[in-house]
Amino acid sequence: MDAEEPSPAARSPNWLRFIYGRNPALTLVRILSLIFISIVVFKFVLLPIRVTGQSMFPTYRNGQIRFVNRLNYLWKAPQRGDIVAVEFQGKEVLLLKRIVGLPGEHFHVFNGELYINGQKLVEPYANGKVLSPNNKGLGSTREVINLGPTEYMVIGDNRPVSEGYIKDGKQIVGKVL
Amino acid sequence: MKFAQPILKFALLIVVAVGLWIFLFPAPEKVIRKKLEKLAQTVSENPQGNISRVANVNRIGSFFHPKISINLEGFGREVASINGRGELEQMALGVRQNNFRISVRFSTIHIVVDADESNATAIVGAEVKLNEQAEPIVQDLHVRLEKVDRAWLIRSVEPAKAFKVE
Repeated sequence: MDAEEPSPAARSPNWLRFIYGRNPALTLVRILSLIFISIVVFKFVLLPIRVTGQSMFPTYRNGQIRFVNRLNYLWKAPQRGDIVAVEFQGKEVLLLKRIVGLPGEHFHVFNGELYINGQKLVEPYANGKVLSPNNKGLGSTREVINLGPTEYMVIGDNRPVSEGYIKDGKQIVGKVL
Repeated sequence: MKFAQPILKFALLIVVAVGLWIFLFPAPEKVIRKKLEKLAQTVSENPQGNISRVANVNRIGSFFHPKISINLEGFGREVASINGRGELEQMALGVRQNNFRISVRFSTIHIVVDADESNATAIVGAEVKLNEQAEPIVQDLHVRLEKVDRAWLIRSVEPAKAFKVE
């Protein structure tokens, strides 16, 4: 009637068993899998970003953490109104902007308001109007900007402080969730 | 197990053949990317002595088409418009002789090769620092390249369209 020898894991104290479970090898596999999946997801699918600055106020505030879905535009083109992350200084510094102009469209600003193909853009999300660089008044573009077949016009929601950019579709990293 | 050996050998042969093919005939995108990175590296060098400077300028010139057209109006505060490789080399030599330090980094490079495979466009995020300035000038550039005698040469450089209000 010899008692069966308990396994090393069973002999270890409860607090240690709580950390690495009944089967330490399986726990290690689980941890490694979790690390691998996290790296893949947060590097290639959902890019975590911290909002810096007031350019997207009031939609996003300074210091908020957001995720960029990098797969969103693999099968469909970006749409007007989408908030996207675009490349600025490489992939290390991204800009959060809203798409206002699509490829092939004609774009201009008059008295601080945006016009697409001659029609004023209805923008319930916008905060204020585009100002001239030296804050002398409302801004206007000197001429109509014709967007190329792959170019998008992007600008922040906080119009008095946000700069607009014309970016190629390839420079759009993904859609902000 | 015996019949598996020829299959393994065949698979290995295929892998080696594909690897060799990729090594000998790299995709145009890869060649152009390497070329642009090499250009940034060459421009960022700080050669000392006249012979080194001239050699560096010649190396820079070798990246460009003889009829290169560069229009960097709007790049930072400077305006530069260059037509022809000769003018470009003269300008580069002047910069080197005045001991200007230029540091160039292409932080992002997106390449689109035309259907004819003899022209390509690179959308490049350029960061330029002059004389060790702390903050770089950041500008998106559209670089057109042309394949001449199996070498990709830069045909034109211009800044991406800018959004300016007045």
